[in-house]
Amino acid sequence: MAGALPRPKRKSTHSNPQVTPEASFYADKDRSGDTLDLDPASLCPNPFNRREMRGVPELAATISEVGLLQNIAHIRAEVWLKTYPETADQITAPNVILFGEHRWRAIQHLGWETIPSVLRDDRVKDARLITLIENLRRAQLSPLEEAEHYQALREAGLSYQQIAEKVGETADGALSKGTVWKRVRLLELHPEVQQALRDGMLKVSSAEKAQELDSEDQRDYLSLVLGGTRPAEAHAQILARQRHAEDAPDDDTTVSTGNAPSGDSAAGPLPLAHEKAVSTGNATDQSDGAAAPEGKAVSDGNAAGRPPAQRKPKQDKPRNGDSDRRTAAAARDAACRRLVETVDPSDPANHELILGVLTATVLAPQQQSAAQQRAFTWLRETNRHGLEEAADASAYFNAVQTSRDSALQRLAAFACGLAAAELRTAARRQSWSSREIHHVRVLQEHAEYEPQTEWEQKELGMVTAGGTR
Amino acid sequence: MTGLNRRFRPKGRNWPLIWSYVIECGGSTKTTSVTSMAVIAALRGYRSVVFDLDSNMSSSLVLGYDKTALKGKKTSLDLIYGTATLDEVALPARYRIGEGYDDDAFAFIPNLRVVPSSPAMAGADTAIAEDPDRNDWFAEILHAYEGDDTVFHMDFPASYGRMPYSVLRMMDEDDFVIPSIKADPKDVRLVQGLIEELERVRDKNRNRRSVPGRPTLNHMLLTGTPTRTYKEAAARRAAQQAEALYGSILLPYIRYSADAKKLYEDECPLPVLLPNSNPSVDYRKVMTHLGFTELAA
Repeated sequence: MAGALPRPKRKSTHSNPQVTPEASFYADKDRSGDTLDLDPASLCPNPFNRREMRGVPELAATISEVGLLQNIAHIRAEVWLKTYPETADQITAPNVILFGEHRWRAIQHLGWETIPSVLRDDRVKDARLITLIENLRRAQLSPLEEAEHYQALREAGLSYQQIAEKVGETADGALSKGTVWKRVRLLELHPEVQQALRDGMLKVSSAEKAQELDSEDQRDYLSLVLGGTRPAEAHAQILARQRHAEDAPDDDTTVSTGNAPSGDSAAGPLPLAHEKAVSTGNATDQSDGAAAPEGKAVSDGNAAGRPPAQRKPKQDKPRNGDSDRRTAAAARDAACRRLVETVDPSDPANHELILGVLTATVLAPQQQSAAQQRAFTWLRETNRHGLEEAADASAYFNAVQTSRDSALQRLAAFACGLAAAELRTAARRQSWSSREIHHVRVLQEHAEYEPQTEWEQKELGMVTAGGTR
Repeated sequence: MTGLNRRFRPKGRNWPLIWSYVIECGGSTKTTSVTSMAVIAALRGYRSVVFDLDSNMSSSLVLGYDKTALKGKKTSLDLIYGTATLDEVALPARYRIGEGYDDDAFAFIPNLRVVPSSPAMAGADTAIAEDPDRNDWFAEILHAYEGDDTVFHMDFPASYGRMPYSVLRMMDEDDFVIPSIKADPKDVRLVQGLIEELERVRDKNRNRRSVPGRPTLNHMLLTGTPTRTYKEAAARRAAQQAEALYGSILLPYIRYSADAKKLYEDECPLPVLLPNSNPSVDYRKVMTHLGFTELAA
């Protein structure tokens, strides 16, 4: 049977096995994922890492105590340069750190001969992203550093949406496209504002408020905020000033900023004229002269002169209200100042007014420091502050409290109360409640204040079906 | 199929006898026995198929197909995935007579086909676990079968799992479960595990009409048994033990031969490589014993 078959080709008959040795079991000695002990001198920093090197000596102290708990990672320079040839001048060693530059510096600080590092040649394509994510995860990146990272990714061709998706969950939670966008826009801020942000003098939210202002206004805004004004208030003041400048370029009555020259003559007579107008029931018809452009500006919503808002189109309409709101707030501010200027706290006839204002203030939640700041501005500008040496609002009110001048104390308390009510009214975005209405009534009664904008009249319930009451 | 002896189609079924060389014991001469017995039957005129179900591809190699030769070919894993039919996968068995991979480097063994394996067969259990339908891969091959093979020789890996189960459940009492073990105390001890596994398969398929579910341990091969010159005490004791425990199902002994180890080196089944060696002679005796005598041409 088997005899009919051809002879097999045999190998087992040779005394020595006829095999060629395997070329090499492991040709690529180091593979991605291997942990290597590297000489720190053979590593160079990641050109994409924009994180400031802070706290290296502290980290070194920790490492010398507990050891290096987490290995760093690196990419071979030749692999790196194939993908990022533009960084050639920054690659100074055979290996590029993918992440762990702090640890590397700390190890150098300690003088260790080797540092354990994971080879990650396979991740070279994602190096930029990994650097960013690693830094974001560690949650010590300042907003501007973060912004620079995002900007770099933008330049690499990623969209805001892609950046948000890829960076994904950061240490602070999910990242939205909007956050990325807002961060990148921080880089457009005036250098001084950026510096303040970098120095920690300014919060991110405060810096974001400055974004819609032009560069000169940003500086004013910054000085206001650094001077102790609340960011929202400072922002409102700048915007109100802008408005005023646009609406009535000839008019000096820049009441809201507190920067108006003292002894302002226009502020006084104007509302008086309106008081008269109200009494005749012809307020809109009677307003003329300086008031006319303002009224006109209000009616067609002069906000269009400002850069378009970065908001959804739906909010355009409320923005017209915003502009009215700011106009009204500026006018009320002037009225408040006038009231502070004219009220005689020692006159028993005014006690009911003062008590009423203070009652309303104490019963409502308030921003005391902001109110004090505003009250201080009024008192100083109307030359009724009484004490000379006070440098800022809180020092001033401390001094008032310790002084024995009861009339001054009463005036200061009154001004604070009035300011609190005014701030609340100015900040109110929903329909007014009785608190806001009460505040305006006080102004109408005691400071000859006349609501000029249609919006404010509506809030007060003065406008019904196209006419004044 | 005319002229085919009815004994190869028990109970009137349409598929051949199934001989499963199975035991959870590595190096227990499963592949040597599968290839030798299938080749002897083939050379005596009985058509059969060797299924290589082991990811080490040993029987594929011995029957003429190493990794290089199998490049681009369908394998037993395709059968499990249902992406190929038996006739598409089965290759004519051959052995090496020259260098290289051209047709003239091989001589074909008549009447024998091999279903080659692939390294990916290591994941066969997982593939079946992923999709319960794949448990029926072997049943589907059997039900669709129309050829005139006499025996399906199944070469299993040294493990019990879903893939061996999917074959064993299709076996009836007329089919053979043939543990091929060396005369070695370790191998003999592991037969008990096989008996339990078969019991489990029978238990699970009790009262099922669609599958036979009766794999039966009806023959046992004892290889490497002592000879006049091979007198290792452990082999002698193991043979005695096997005789005592499983005497009723033991096939004629396959005596020890150092030559038996050469089939992998020479990529050739033992009865072709060394037809006159002890094991070749003994395997022929076994096949004669099992009724596979030379067929008249």
